Amino acid sequence: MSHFPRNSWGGARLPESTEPAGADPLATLLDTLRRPGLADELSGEERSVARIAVAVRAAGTVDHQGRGLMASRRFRVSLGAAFAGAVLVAMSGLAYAGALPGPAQGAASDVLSKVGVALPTSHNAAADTAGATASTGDEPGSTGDTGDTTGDEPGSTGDTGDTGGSGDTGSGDNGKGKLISELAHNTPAPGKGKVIAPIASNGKSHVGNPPGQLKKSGQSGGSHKPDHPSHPAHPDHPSSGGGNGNGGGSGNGS
Amino acid sequence: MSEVTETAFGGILTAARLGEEWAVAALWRDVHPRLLRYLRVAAGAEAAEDLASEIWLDVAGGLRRFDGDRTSFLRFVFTICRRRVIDAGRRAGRRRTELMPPDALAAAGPAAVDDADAGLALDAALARLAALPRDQAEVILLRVVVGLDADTVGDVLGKRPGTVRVLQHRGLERLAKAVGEERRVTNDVPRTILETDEPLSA
Repeated sequence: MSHFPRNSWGGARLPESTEPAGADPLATLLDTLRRPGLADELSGEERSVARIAVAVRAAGTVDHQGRGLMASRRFRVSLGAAFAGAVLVAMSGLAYAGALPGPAQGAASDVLSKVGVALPTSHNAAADTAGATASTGDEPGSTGDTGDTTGDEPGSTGDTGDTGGSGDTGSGDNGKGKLISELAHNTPAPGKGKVIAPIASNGKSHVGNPPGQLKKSGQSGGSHKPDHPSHPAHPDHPSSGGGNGNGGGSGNGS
Repeated sequence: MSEVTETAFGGILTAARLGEEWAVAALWRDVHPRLLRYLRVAAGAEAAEDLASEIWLDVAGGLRRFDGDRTSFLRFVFTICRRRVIDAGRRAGRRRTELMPPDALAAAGPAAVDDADAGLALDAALARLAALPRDQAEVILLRVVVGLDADTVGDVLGKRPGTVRVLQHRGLERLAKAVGEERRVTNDVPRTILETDEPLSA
């Protein structure tokens, strides 16, 4: 819409200088920008509106499916995270107990040692096992069981009462079982495992050695664990000595 | 522009979400001219129609999730619009697309602003806006053409309201200066005989 009249003869517009006094050209410009939609701007309304309406209706369906998919994804992610967390906790527990397979235990020990958590290495775990087997004198109840299961000769497991001899017979280590039996019988309870384990394992076990020392020497074995402090020896238990003999002998024999 | 009133907007939006064509048409008539004008400045006249179609499809896709008043709807639409323009600019491999070819502004001429033909006047006004720095032009478009307040414009552009006001002030100042200079130049040009009101003498 023009502010200016057209003259009657030529249709030529009047120049701007005839614009009413006080009219702000900037305001005129802004009014032009605010003008209602022109015909060419609104052309194609029916086609556009129909297409948009179809898209809105279609989006309703797609959106619903999308939300379902999103929920499903969220559920899957949550489930995966929970599973991963459970696996992590379980593996950490196993690593702390030294029950992982060798390489995995070593890797777990390396990783967690960096954050200040001391875990048994794979070698430590093996030594612990050996030490535990050898020092079964600390656990009288378990010696007979070990002997029963490992003894190749069932009659040598202490049925006769000659436990030291049966250990020797079972192991065939030339009196080693007897020696261990005697050690187990005579050594005071604290540190008994440290004395017995190296002998029983032929020097492979390094129970009680600090971990750093083991790494430097490149030897296997060594344990951070105390020698079963929760299971003190029972020196006044007469059968424990015999049991030790069985355990030591059978452990070596196996 | 046939504006949808705030009071009517809620009902129209509800119907539009269900895909009712009358409601979609009401929203379209309210927004589309503003959208085109914004796009003509921000993305160029050639790309404006295509971009507007893409933007409307995006709006249609998000309409069911949208909830709010008319101002929120305009913010929603023009946020999509701005992203589309930025994407188009990246695709074109240039930061800014000219509104019109350089000669178009010259062709429009100073007098075109006051052209009785609304389309030409609008073209000229948009061309003047396009001559501004981009951020100033965007602010003026969103404030003047779209009718958003400074806070909402800040939301759309990712700027603080104070920055929006400063840009608006600078843009309008620059625009006024440009229009004033052209006006002075026009007044100095002698009139041709056909431009006078005096009757032709035989």
